[in-house]
Amino acid sequence: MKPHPFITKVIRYMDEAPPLIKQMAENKRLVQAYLRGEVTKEELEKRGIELVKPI
Amino acid sequence: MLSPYSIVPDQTLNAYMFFTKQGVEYRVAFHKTQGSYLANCPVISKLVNEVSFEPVPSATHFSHDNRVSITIVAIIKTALQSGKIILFVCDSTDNKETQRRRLFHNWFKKYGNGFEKDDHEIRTDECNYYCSLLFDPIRHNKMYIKTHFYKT
Repeated sequence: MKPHPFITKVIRYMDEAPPLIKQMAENKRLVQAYLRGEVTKEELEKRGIELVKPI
Repeated sequence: MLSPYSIVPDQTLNAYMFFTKQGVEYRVAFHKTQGSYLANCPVISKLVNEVSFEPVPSATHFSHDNRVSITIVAIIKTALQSGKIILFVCDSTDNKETQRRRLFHNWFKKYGNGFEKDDHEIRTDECNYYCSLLFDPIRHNKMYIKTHFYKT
């Protein structure tokens, strides 16, 4: 039998998102800006974002 | 049956690249989560990478191309098969995070056979945050990861 993806979901309601989640969203925006060529690799590194070398 | 586009790893950019038949360049990158995520279990934490992808230049209006999703999924699957745990956070800068979540969810439902996806939504007055953790349940202890993911 073909395996199926297994999906679970949790929803949390909060007044404000935890700092970790906000930081992750901010890091993501920076990496996307880097991929568009708007931010340099050095700028990413300054903010502690380390890209993974492709295989 | 559609096949992924040819994927080129760029060691200078630290990203994967591919070009669509319309000539649009896509870039896919993984970055380390600096041990901040699942920090209470360091062995797992160092395996967590966050994925990002972008068309270059930024998309305005492209016609729908199923091979783009197939190619991005193929890159993510390769990472999962190598034992990585992948975190996907939906960008909310343009308030389209719900559409992104739905799109990513549909990709996973279509092509994610055999993998595990745990969705986490945080709903606030300001905006909603959507993140998903993807992993290969054959390589990782499902219950252990799930328990720590929800605690984070």
